[in-house]
Amino acid sequence: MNQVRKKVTPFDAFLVALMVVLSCIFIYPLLNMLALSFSNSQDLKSLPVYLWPIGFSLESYKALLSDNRILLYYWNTIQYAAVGTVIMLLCTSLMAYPLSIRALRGRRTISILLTITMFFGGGLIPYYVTIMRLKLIDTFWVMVLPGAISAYNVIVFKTFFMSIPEALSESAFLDGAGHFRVLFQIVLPLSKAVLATFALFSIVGYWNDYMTALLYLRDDSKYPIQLLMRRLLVLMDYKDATTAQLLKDYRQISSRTTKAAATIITVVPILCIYPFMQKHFAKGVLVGSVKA
Amino acid sequence: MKKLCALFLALLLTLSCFAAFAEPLTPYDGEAVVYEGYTADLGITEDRESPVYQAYKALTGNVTIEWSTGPWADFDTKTSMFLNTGDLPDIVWLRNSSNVVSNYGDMGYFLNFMDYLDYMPNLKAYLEEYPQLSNLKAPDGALYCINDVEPTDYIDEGFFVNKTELDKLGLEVPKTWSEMLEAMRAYKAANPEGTPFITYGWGQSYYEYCLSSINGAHTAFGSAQFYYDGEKWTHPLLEKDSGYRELVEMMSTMYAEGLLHPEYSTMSDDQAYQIVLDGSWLFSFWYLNTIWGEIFLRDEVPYEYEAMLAPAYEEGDPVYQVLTVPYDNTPGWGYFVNADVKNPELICSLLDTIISKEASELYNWGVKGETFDVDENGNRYFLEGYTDNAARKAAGVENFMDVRYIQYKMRDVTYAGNGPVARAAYDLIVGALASGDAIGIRALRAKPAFTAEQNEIVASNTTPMQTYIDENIMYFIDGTRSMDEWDAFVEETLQYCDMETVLKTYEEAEQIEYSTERKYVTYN
Repeated sequence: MNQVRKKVTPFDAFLVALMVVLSCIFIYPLLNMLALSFSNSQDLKSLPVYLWPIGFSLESYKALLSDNRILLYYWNTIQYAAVGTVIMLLCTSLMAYPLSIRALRGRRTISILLTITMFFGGGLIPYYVTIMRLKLIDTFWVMVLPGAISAYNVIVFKTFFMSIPEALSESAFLDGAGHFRVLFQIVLPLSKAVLATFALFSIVGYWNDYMTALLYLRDDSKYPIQLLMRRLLVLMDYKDATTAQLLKDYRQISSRTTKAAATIITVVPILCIYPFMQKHFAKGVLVGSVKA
Repeated sequence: MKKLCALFLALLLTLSCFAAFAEPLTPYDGEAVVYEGYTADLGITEDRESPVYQAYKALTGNVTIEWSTGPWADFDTKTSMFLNTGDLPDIVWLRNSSNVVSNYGDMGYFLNFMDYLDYMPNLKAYLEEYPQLSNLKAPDGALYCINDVEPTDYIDEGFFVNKTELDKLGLEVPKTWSEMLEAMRAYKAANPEGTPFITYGWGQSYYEYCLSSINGAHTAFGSAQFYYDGEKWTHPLLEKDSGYRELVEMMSTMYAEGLLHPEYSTMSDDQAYQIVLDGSWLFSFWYLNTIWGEIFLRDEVPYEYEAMLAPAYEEGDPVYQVLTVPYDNTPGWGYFVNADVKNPELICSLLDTIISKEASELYNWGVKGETFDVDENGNRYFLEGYTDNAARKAAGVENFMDVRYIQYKMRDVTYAGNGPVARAAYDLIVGALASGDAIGIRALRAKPAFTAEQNEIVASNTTPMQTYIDENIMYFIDGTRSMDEWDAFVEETLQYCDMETVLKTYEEAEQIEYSTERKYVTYN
């Protein structure tokens, strides 16, 4: 059977060209950071770097990686991302599932109360006081528990669960299954797209989160990698006389190369995860856009 | 019953006598005590095995502060959280001590050091010798913060000239503003791509600050602020002899003739540094060690440059010099201690050790005989093997936490660590100040210690006025407005502010007078 080749139209060519341009725009900053991170600070001084390093030096990476806090902060971040994501998926599923059952009494009321939390908050100080009174300050759990349930996530999960044919769960009930069994053995296995999508969002969110650590952690040994990066990016920033007096100079490593190296070190793990999640991400990105 | 009461009273009296004989508890030899502290990350990589830190431990004993640090840019966010929730660590480093005291002092968060002065002989002595420390006391006399002690005036900024370029023009180092202007014009004519005057990328206010040392204009770190003229509080826009109009006119002329970089008010430090790296400048204003230490990273500078005194505005006018940190400034940063801290006497003793001269010498110079020594003139110098910054850091010099943030300042170490041109710059500037050839720019009074109500009156009036001033100064400088419109600008500005009320508030507030005596120190 002969395959019919799709004719390439001018619009297709325009789309391809646009995507190429957009891709270049998105990739350029990363390549620029990479080039800067491998530049030699002595040759670099204040010259601009584009796509190629000026001189070549691994000093910035050596300086950063010789700091044994990096590995500790990496490990902390991995823990927060992994545990936080699992807790988020579990709690969100456990809340969304009953809300997806039409027969649940008070479902509408709970949904309205949930939606209200999307628009109104108590503010930072009451939030801090709540965390303080729960004795979560400076603990591992302050990084993973407060963000366990997001109203938006629950709504999307609920919408997706409602799109699963009720016949599946009904037949399970008839066979003697309870709600937990239905959730974990029927609903969740069919929800891989939404679980993968939100897992990815969650991992990225936890990976990038430094504000929670900044506000609620005090022990350096619990800090995530973003806080170290924030320190490095800011520490090297001679923006005022007070900072200039307070900071000390580094002989071999300029602030620009170190900042760039820190950026690359922090971004690489997430870049590695995306290709594996792409299949699910493509399916799941429209999750929740269709009302059940 | 009467006997019992008498016995009880006698016991109380006896116990109170013991307090009068209280002494510092450091070096502490009891069971290890650890306090929790929070401060900003300033790049310290403390090595507690280093010889200097071990020597410091000998002073403090078995008591330590475990510091957790946050990024510099977010430091205020975190400390605001502490202050607004009352959830303070044992000790915290805070900026704007006087604001913290006035806003939070009566909330019961902080330890009052006046109650523990018997354990703090150094602080007691400093309070007598340095009256500016008492400016930080709360209205009820409580002292909630321990601050830097600045024993002398600290001068670390000045003008520099690119001697190589100046010699090419066949000119001498200018002594007046008109000579400097002519030199910049000649340089621009010969070097159209060059930048006759450059300084840090810290915006318009820093340019005003450094150029104000040419005509002594009244600015407070580079913007039109209220000042005390010896008889009354006033504002630069109200006084024709404040020099502010002339300062703006100078900058306007410079900008119009291309003597300032066209992006001077928005450029970054990197851009400014590149100009210096290229050698395409004639005059500049920096911290003394910036060119060699920060821009050229302690490598050889490929052209000749040297320090110069600020030119006088006109022939016969005084030569002015900015004072980077006057000794009698009310200190900004301070250590605050949680009122509920355990063993308050011990932490007070520890803090007293931190601000001692011994601890400061250890921090800045290290161990005498090992890392530094003293010459026949009494000046300290680093020993061979410790002239390099890296070697000093490895030994623990300027590299441990407690004293990094608050200390008895020893500015001679800055001098010792500077390059030869920076040291020559310091000698030139301080020599001129000490001999009276130059005058240190110094306000007569600090901004008064406003009450919350007074602060509100001043802020509500002056904020819109200051915004208007900042916008229009840029218009004058870039030529959008002509200098002929200055008087009209002053009238417009005064409409934004009830000046009479503000000045009255300034007069009625608690005054903080600066000393007329200056303390300049040379190190050679």
